[in-house]
Amino acid sequence: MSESSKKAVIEVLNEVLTAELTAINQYFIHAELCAHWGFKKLYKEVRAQSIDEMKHAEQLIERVLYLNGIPNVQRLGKVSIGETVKEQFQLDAVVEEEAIVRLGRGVMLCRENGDIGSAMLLETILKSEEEHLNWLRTQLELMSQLSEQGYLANQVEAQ
Amino acid sequence: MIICLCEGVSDREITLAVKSGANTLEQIAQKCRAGINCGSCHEQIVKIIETSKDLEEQKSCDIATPGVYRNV
Repeated sequence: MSESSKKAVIEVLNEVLTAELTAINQYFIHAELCAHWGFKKLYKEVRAQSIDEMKHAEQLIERVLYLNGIPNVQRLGKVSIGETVKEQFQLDAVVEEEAIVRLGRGVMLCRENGDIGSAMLLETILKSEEEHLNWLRTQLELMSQLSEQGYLANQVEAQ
Repeated sequence: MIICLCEGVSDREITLAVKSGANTLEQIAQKCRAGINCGSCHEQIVKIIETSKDLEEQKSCDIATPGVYRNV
């Protein structure tokens, strides 16, 4: 792989890393807010998603280092905090939709530059983000069918 | 949605500040303290100002349209 190709790949990996680091924080604060409001079931689920994003960040950092680049862990995007569970889901869905577009672009760029390993990593992350988006859409659909209160009543874990 | 994390200011509070006449970052900061610290929310605050302005312009166009309100 040429130096310019490597540089382009490292750049896109760092761009994805920034988004992952931002998502970790957004999901973590959303999880803690859910716990604070008493929605313990949601707390566990959303916290696990935050940790999933952390694992993606770990894989991206490892890949950038493998390519002899410097992982940019300093740059963060805007964290959007929802004031209700519904708003949290909507804001998280925006994060996932943007991530899917970014990752798709990244996969193409890596393949164009002959870096199949990075392309495969981004594909794995892309699949995981699609699953997360699907989960969020399901929750929003449940809220719409059961009503917001009906949905939330099911998220309070029995003491 | 919380826009300014440093000061804990929501989009509703910023929209209220715009409605009460604030239409620059400085004026918004004076009204509700949003954006006075790290500045990472400035882009979103500007968007809220622009959206609110567009809505106001839309309203004034509706009012200015002959026959819409004058005959009421």
